[in-house]
Amino acid sequence: MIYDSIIIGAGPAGISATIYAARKGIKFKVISENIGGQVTKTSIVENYTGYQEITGQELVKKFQNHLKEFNFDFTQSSVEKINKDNHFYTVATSSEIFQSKTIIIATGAKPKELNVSGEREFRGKGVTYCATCDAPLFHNKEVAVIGGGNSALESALQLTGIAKMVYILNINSKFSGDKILVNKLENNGKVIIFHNAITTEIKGEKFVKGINFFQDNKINDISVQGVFIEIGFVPNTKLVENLVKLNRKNEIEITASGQTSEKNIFAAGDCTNTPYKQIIIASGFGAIAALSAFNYLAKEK
Amino acid sequence: MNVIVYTTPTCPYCHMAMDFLKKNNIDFQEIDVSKNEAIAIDIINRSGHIGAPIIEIGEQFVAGFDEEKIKNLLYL
Repeated sequence: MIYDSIIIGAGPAGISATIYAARKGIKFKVISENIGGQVTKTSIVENYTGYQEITGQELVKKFQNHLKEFNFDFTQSSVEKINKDNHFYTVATSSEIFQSKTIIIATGAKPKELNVSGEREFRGKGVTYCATCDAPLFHNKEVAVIGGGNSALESALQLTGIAKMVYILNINSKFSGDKILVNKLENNGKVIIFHNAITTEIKGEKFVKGINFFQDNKINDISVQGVFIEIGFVPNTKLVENLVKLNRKNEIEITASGQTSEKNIFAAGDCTNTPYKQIIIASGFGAIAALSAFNYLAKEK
Repeated sequence: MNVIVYTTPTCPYCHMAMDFLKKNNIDFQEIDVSKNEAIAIDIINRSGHIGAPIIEIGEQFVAGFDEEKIKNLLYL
């Protein structure tokens, strides 16, 4: 059997693509390691239309409930390889192979690493990339949040309710995150902010004991037991690097209609070159990708 | 074999790990370490790992939802 489309990934982009594909009645399947993608690791979402405030997990539950409305094939797995044949693509997981006329890539992004000494060594020993998961383990501890965007600011804010002291180390001179979050942090007595601070080393023995950072032409040293790294994301595009055109950041280049450099491969969300990585934007582009795949299929018939 | 899953309330991998154990009919106890600091400190020291979930299987520890390691330890 040859599918009309295979959607790879089920974060906001893949889920929205699924809803649109299902309503159009095309023959499709979804392959994803999880449902919810990065939203599952988001503590609070306050900028998704219709919800003033909702936890990432609640939003994922709502997404899942929405998906239950439709019948579609779902395989919980990662995709190992996509091959192009004459008239269709073969998509391989570790144990199965599927064929499809079009592909919708919605593989999202993963946290970027800092690349400093100690980061790998102390991963899971004080270094973490998931505040939502691990923040409660730092009760009454001193922690550092590395980064200056919304993810970093939200993590820092979450930690103010748990940790004894929260240091924020921002490499730039200003935060790039939302003003509303910056204001909350600047007015919190537990928070100390360092701008223009370049983290140089994470130190410890069995667990993290401190970090070094470069600021004002000197190396500073602070004692922390936790390091939350929130410096942005890298797109999950290794799978398609030889299939579609990527930009310098390894993001998939798409047109306004979600088409990649291959006419029958569409992409949406954080794995693409859309300038803003937001849940609502990924959802929107997921819809575009599914509608464009549908239009492509209609013309091919 | 005694299985304990040490969790935090909002950790997605904790839920994935517990769903996996349920699917395989493995009895386990869940301990939310955010509610008990003494247990949190104890499990961090015993496992050498700070992160959720930590899964204690017999005398072994699994850090995170490492499906392969869980399968090996439980002979699944």
